[in-house]
Amino acid sequence: MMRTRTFHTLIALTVLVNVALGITNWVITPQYAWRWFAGIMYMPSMWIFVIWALNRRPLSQYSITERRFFIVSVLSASLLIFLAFSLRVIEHFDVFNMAAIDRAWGIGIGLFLAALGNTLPKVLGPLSAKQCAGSEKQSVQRFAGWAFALAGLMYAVLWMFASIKLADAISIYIVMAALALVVLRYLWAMRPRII
Amino acid sequence: MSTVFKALSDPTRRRVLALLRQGPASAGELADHFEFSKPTMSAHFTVLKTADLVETEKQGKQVIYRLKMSVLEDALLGFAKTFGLSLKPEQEATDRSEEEETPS
Repeated sequence: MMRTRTFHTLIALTVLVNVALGITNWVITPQYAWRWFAGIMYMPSMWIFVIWALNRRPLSQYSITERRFFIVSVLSASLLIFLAFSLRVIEHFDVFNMAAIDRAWGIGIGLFLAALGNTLPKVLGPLSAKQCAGSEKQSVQRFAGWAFALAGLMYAVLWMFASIKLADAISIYIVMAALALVVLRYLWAMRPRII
Repeated sequence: MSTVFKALSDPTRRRVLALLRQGPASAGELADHFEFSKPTMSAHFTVLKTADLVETEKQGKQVIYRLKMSVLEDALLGFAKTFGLSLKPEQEATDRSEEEETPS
């Protein structure tokens, strides 16, 4: 399993590459400056968060499943930003058929979301033991897993079969709906109760 | 994955998982729902733990079990429950005798 130092080096590399790609995009299409700025800022923010999280609890103290989830999540987020940034550069220089790339990109995001949702209930949170909140917490985690897994599959299927225009317009609402449902379910679980 | 299928193929283990869907429970509380001996139940819990479908935490003298299933495993459990997925009788008997021989 990956060591903490290797992990930090890998993150530092992805941050540098993505920031460089972000700046390239900014230069190529300055009209979307705010978008590139947000993307560029995300990478160092994530890096700071990872350093903070690993200072609180080193990687070696996590279970194998948790460690794998942590590493895969961080690296996948970096990969997604890398792909988004590099695709725009490719698009600018008109190297490939962008319609096919857009479709593959949409399917990839959908499958990634589905895979993330699938593992969510397995890796989320420490053991909540037999407190009253334990069952609620477990129920919220399972709900979140199902919501994201189904949303991811719907997202992928939409990008696979619908027209790119339609998929582009609708797909984001699928993710937003799943997110809203999870937030509502969480708020419902957190509601004050009379004992 | 074969350990997951093995774990889900037994109706008792499926019932344990169904009980755990309602929330974490102690080994004793789970065992109360069945008429099996403690070693048999313990063997079932071991199979579920080996398949990584449940996790445990020790609280004083009690061992608390909690569900640890991915969405796919959850769906497989539903599928197995609906369609009554089970091992062949002779294989099930062999497995059961192996489990009963396993020290708890």
